[in-house]
Amino acid sequence: MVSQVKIISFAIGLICLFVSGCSDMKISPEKPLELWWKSYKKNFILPDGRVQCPEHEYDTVSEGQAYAMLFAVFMKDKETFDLIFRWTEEHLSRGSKHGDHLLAWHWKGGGVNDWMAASDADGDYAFALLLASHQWEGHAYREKAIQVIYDILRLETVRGVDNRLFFLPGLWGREKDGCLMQNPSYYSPAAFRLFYEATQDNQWLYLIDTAYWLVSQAGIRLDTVTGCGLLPDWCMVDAQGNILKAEGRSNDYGWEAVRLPLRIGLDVLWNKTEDAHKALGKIYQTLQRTSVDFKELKAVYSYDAGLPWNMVVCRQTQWPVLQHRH
Amino acid sequence: MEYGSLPADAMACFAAQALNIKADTVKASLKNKLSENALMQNYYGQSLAFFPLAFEGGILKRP
Repeated sequence: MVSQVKIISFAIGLICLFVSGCSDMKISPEKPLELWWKSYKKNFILPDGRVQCPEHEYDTVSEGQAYAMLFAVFMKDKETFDLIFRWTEEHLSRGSKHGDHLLAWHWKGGGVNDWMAASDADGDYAFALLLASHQWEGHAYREKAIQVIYDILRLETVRGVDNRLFFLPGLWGREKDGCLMQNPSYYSPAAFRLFYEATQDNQWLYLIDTAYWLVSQAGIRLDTVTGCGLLPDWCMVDAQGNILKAEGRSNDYGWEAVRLPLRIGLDVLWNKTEDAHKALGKIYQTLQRTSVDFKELKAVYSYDAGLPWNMVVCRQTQWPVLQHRH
Repeated sequence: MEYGSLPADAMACFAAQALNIKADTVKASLKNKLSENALMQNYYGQSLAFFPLAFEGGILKRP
């Protein structure tokens, strides 16, 4: 009798194992997030914790490391978080070379090829570490986050018009005649509120104020062009507070500005501020209007919501590429 | 299908979620694109697609 029970239990065990194995293999519409994470890790995160970018010759940017750490912490995947964190500190930290806690933005072909920092990545890095310190109560995460947060304030912010505090794109952005290079999508109000809560440093509140000031002003006018609700990838703020085109950089609502709904949307979800709701609503309404005009959402719009580019597929690589309209 | 618009679809979808606006068309468009093999290695699009999926999964919680 006992052996019969054992055989039946063994058989049931085998069936369960088979069924669970099969269900893991097929795509389940009930678990799109888990499947996405599995696919993301397989396609982009290497076993050593480096996040590769196939579209750019498998190089690595600090922004990609920080994004993947954000995904890992929201997914409660500590093992992957630690792996990426370790690689990032070992390979991108500017500490040994420059003595700060920011990250080198670009790694390619076995090493860093540009030690310049990118403030959006530094902000997301600190954001991910701070979330991790709440998620897993790790003192090391919080300590590192605070170090990065203070170096961002020290090295990547500057006072501008009306003594307003601006978030620079990196360790650069002070242009001639008192102009400041700005990327509205680098401001991350939801993260900045957590930085304020962690440090009680009012400068983060000033940066949030500037974020919504910039979104508002850059949506109204860019040089002489009247806005329609979209924001430019890059712009400059002059000493009088005018919003100007950024020479040599994209002024479209493109690959940079496309992230604004993420930046502002998180603030809407988490903090429900009127500024955030108003700013996101305006962008969404404009996108909705243009998607009706063009029958679908486009990758890039000009500042006045036209189409500055043609999307073509590269014959050699089969990747989609943008081509200027002539 | 315009493959380069995966980031735009992802962010429009997330905006609609944050604003609590019903946006079935953009959600359907995003889901179609996410199931395309050609987009599996679209790093930027896949990265931004996390946020609408995470919203639906209820994991974007403020600490």
